[in-house]
Amino acid sequence: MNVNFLAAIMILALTGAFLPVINRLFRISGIMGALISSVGYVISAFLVLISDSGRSLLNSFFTTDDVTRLIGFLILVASWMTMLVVYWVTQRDKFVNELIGSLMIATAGALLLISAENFVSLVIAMELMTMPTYLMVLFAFDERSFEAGVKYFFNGALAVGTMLFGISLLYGMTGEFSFAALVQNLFKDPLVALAGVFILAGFGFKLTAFPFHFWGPDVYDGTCPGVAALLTGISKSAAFIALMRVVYEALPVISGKFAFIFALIAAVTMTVGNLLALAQKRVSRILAYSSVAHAGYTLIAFAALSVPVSITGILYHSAAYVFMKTAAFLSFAVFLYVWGARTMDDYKGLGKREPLLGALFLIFLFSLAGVPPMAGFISKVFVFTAAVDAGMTWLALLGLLNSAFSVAYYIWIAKQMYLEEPVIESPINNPFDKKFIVIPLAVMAVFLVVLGIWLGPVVDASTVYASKVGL
Amino acid sequence: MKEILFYLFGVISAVLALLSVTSKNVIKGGVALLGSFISLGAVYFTVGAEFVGIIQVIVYGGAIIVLYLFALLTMDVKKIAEEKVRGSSAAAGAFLSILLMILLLLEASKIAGKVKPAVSGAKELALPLFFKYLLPFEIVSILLLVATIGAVAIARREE
Amino acid sequence: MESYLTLLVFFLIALTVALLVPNINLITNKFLKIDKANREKFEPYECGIPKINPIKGSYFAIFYVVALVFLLFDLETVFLFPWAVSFRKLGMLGIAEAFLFITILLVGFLYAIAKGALKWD
Repeated sequence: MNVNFLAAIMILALTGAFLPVINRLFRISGIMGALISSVGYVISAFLVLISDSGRSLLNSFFTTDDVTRLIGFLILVASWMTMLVVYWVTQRDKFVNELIGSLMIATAGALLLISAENFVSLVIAMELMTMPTYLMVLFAFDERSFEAGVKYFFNGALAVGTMLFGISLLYGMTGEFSFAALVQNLFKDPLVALAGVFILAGFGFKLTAFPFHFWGPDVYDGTCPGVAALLTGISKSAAFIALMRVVYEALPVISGKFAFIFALIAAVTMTVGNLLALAQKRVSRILAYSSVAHAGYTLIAFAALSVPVSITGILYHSAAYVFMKTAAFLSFAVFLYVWGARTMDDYKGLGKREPLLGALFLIFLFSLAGVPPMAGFISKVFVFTAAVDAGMTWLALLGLLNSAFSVAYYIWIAKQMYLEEPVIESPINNPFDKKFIVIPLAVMAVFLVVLGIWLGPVVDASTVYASKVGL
Repeated sequence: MKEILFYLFGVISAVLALLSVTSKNVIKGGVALLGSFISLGAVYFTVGAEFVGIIQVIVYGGAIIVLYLFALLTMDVKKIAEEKVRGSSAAAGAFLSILLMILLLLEASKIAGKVKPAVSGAKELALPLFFKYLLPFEIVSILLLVATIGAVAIARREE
Repeated sequence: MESYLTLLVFFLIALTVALLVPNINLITNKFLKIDKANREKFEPYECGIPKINPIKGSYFAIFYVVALVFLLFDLETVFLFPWAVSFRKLGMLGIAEAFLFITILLVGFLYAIAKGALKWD
């Protein structure tokens, strides 16, 4: 692990940990919390960017390659913007500093997770990413968030337990934890396949893949939308990168056998997600089910793991997904805060009331639907190309059908926002600094458009990674 | 000597575990569970797994039991005592535990006599933990810190 | 393993004393046939006067925070145990690592104190 990258993580985590303490000791005024954590974010983003220089230490646990740098930087930016929006939406709450601190520590965990090259560090990083979110899900402290918190906690515990069981099987067979050593020592064996199934099931919980997707929408809908933005966007993308490392670096012996299972899970996950999203009345539930569907799209790329372009698909979709899903949930959070809008009926005419926010929300929705020139389009192109290249044309066709299908509900929200007459008369909260809420969302929109046009960084990183894993 | 102690503590642990689930008084059940955990720790000592035994006593006998008893304090114990155990859930539990026992016995009979007891003391663990696994070790401290902040923050939310 | 036998003997003596001393009156009562089981005997002891109302929930919530904080610091000892037993072998680096570990955890303790989680009110 590179020293700079480690310093970035440590600064992020310790700023997050100290923020609530500083707040309790010195009673800092609202804006100071956001400022302190912004400083932490900027420093660690800078350190991540320069992390290819500098000494490296203990490389068998964490690696700092192109993928880590790229996705790490994108995750940091998305998390920073999330922090700003969450701060403006919840600034009156006394617990805002705890919330922001947890967000920062969870982001540090996500940064560790995308660089983990060892099952020990993978589990610890995943726990570091998940543990603060247990607190964050409970943040609203009402009945619904209690339900969501309990569901989330037990599913998270089950996921990590399942994963640990698989890992302990691998350790029992080889006596090794690091991916590089496992690759050399593993052999084709039913027990290895069993361990793989358990590890993938653990990831399935995190990613809300099909048989384990049931908790996702309940939790994303039950908690406050700012937290749902973290859970659906940042933590899922990081888990995708970790799964990519496991599949390509640790278990290539058996992952070829898993291609068809991945394909099946991907097909069912996206179909279920899209079908259920269509049936929803609440905008947060639509977004939650669309997050399930997007997990399915990324799994298409995993199904095509024999071709190099699958890595581009995974990376691109994770990169785009960090911004589009997070931003969509944040826009929902802002609408909820300012107008109290939850259901489809509440969204009638909101586009006319909030032209700027409405336009940004539209950008995120179109990116989720896969409309050019946003990043969501190009990532889907790569994912489906990978499926066709790997000889799974049926899967690519199903994916195309699904994304055509998904346009229906995104367009439906757009139609409610722009073509209907407003129903909500006056905003419930009217913050004077509304323009500050728009800035973070606009930054995310810019990132989405830039990623959609400038293919260079992600494609280069994936080429390097593909040659590293020998594809 | 070793064998005698192993079986002695094993039997004590099993009997106390049985007591802890059958006892009408939940506090008595909790104390029986504590005894069960500690004698299980002694079982680990007799087979040479010292560190695991110590962890069993510190974590289970110390922390988990305290949490368990405090959780009991916040509940309405009388209400729980009146609730009837459903036949179906008892049957499912019995089925699962018998299945598990058969599996364990089958596997154990296969490897019986082949396994040499390996010493897993705390001293052997120290070098890898503090040198090879240094980075994960320090990250664990952040993990515990988050858990502390989370526990305090959730429990004292009302202020 | 043999070195732990002394510990076992010590533990058994401690257990006997711990069980015997608080219950000595119960045992003598058994022999003296004093056995009056009535309702008041199972009430919570409140300076001898009848209890007024059930104890409030928040009372236990404080206990619960203490228990949780105890649990976490208990887990910390698990990690420090290997450090303590091979303290010399680990040298200065070991000390530095353990202190970093404890320092990070102390932030959590500081937070618990600043939040008043350990305050009795």
